Amino acid sequence: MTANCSKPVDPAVLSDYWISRLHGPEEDAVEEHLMQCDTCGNRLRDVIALAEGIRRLAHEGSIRMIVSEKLLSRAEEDGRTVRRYTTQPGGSVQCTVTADDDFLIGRLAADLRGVKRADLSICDGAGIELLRLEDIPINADSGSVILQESVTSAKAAPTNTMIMRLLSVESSGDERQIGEYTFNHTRSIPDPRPGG
Amino acid sequence: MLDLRRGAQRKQRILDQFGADLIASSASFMPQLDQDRLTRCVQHLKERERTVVMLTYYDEQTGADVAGFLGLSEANVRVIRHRAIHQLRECMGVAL
Repeated sequence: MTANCSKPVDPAVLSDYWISRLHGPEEDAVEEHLMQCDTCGNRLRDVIALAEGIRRLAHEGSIRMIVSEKLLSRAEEDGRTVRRYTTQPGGSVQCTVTADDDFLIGRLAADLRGVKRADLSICDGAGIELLRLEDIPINADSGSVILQESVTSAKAAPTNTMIMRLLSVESSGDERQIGEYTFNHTRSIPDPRPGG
Repeated sequence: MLDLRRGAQRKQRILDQFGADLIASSASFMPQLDQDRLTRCVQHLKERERTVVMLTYYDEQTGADVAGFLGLSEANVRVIRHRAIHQLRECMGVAL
């Protein structure tokens, strides 16, 4: 074992090693190095801690992000409760979240053919942009964008209306609206605040 | 399912070698990582990076699966994943 490492393994490579993304000689080389190097062994522990932290975060459903149907299936296999709403362009949906929900999902149906870059503009009920998710991951063949709303935030939110606009952004910077979706959220969890 | 089982066995073997105490007891493992800070760090990632790391580490999706979902090449997904790991470590204050 050595305390000082002359050729430290890149943390991202160690991460790949942890999640079985290395194969053959590359995996063998990392493993052999780890057997002899305390520095990289410690670095691997950091990487594992980070990876497990990310896994926990995803498991909680508390991050607003674009997800795949496969991730939601995995969550359900893990016993998580996934609440889903689907809207068409120009459509609106009545929605809520209960204390038992672990994931809150909005599926925005959209024709994404030919779209190179898409932004998701999140607006208040008056249509004023509050936040923009830039260059969201899209798959032109999927016919929809699956947005995971933070279930933690949603559970704390009052009754309100949220408008989402899916925008195609051209390289020139010009924007074209692909669809607008309205979510009428009704709070169903009692507000713990006095008079709430 | 077989892949998942193999993956779990492999991870256990690595943990046995390099730090069984990390995950055997989540109580001793988690305090090492500030989960609130990690939440903020993940929120600071670009959308594509956030999705890639979440799909990769939660669902253990293969590079091909993630690439297929995002309409990118596997090599591109690898670059995004590596960049995100570096950014998260830096944001978490871990020595690079």
